[in-house]
Parts: sequence; structure tokens; C-alpha cells
Amino acid sequence: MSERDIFTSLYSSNATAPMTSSDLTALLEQSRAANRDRAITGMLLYDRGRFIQILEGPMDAVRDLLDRIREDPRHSGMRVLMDEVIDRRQFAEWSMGFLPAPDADGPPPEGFRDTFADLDAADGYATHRAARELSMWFRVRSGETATPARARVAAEPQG
Amino acid sequence: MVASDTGDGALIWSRVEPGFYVGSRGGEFLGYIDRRPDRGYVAFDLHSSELGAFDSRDDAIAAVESQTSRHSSGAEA
Ligand SMILES: Cc1cc2nc3c(=O)[nH]c(=O)nc-3n(C[C@H](O)[C@H](O)[C@H](O)COP(=O)(O)O)c2cc1C
Repeated sequence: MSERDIFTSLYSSNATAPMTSSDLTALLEQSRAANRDRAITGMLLYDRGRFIQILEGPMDAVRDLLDRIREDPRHSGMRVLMDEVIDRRQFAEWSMGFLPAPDADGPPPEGFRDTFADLDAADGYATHRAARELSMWFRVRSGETATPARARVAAEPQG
Repeated sequence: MVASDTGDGALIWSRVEPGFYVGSRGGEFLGYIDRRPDRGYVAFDLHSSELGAFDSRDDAIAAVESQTSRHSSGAEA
């Protein structure tokens, strides 16, 4: 498959019921198997009832998957916050990586914006910037804990 | 007060989580800072090339911000 036009999309949504660790494991196993078949890669974050997912792959495959995920009763209120063509995959090793929630530690230091707060901002510019910051953080964290998804299919989600 | 976020070229630093900060200007990423237990505040450019490790966050921020002024010379370390 040509890797020339990789499309990426980042959304947030709210779980309709709290996800246990086995719920998340089941979701990830299902997703990883299906994503491998469709050349989809990406990362999923679950943080106290909120999902943030970044998907990348051929445009049609990503759009189809987004349409399917949107209908999934496990969550609601999907908001696509970033949607663009990129030069190359950022998560090539991950059929669907999972990141535990970041440490919450009160408000950020003075003079700093709060990425997770900006994600919910009404201002589209701030939201888009926050989505890109998250994508950057996903990338750094996924590289750091780098065990390719293939070897880590059964990794226990934490938190 | 935090900087306004108008996209007009203002320099913005955001905290994604404690110890991880991303800097941007007018929607363009400059780089990020990652606090490592063994190395302090490590500054990176937007391609994740390391710019240096610092004891203070402010020094790491300065390293990220100053690389843009060196950019035109094409002689970055
Ligand atoms: C937060 C969330 C993320 C999901 N991510 C993926 C994914 O990356 N890949 C995937 O195939 N299904 C994913 N799913 C599952 C899909 O919504 C859907 O259940 C799956 O594609 C099977 O659809 P089907 O029963 O119509 O074949 C996700 C569901 C949720 C709630």
C-alpha cells in the first residue's frame, strides 16, 4: 500500500459508563486486530471517563473507522479536534497503543496553558493547538515506553 | 494571567502533564521539555532532537526558544 497520503484524526469522547481495565483490554484487542487489517495505527488515552484517540492511515480507512466508532454505544459526544494529511505516520509501530492517564497535579505553573483544559475550549484555535500538543506528547510517551504493539497486545491498561 | 491564545504569533507554553511542556508560536511548534528523573529538564526541538539538559525549567525553556533565532544560520549544534 502506498504510504503517500496518510490521514490523521484526533477526537475526544466521553465513556457512557466507567471502563474497567478488562473493558479496556477487550476494546484494545478488538481494535488492534481490526486495525492491522486496515493499515490503521494510533494511540488511545482513557482518563477518568474521557477517551482521546488518534488514528492514522489511508484517508478512507480512517474516515470509515471514525464513522463506526462514532456509533459505538460505549461512548458518546465525539468531537474531532484535529483532522489532517501528514507526511508519514507518527505511530507506525502501534496498531493501537494505550496510554494511561497523565498525572493530574492541579493547575499548571503560572504562565502555562493547560492542554487538557484547552482541549475543551470553545475557541477552535486553542483546541487545535491543544490537540497537536497531545499528539506530540503521545508520540514522545509512546516512543519512550516503546514496545511495539505486536509484542504487547495483552498489555494491561492502567488507571 | 496566561498569555492570550489568539494565534497571532504569541509565544505559548502549555503543560500536558507535570514535567511535560510544549512551546509554540503562532501555531508552530518550537519544541518541548520533558523532565527526566535522572537528568532534570531536557529540552527538545520539534523533531525530538535534544537541545540540552538543565537543572531549571526556565533554562530549558530558554534553550527551546533560542533555537529559533539560531535557525537561520543553519549551524545548530
Ligand atoms: C473509544 C473507542 C475506540 C475505538 N477504537 C477502535 C479502533 O481503533 N479500531 C477499531 O476497529 N475499532 C475501534 N473501536 C470499536 C468500534 O467502535 C467498533 O466496535 C468496531 O469497529 C467493530 O465494529 P463492527 O461491529 O461494526 O464491525 C473503538 C471503540 C471505542 C468506544
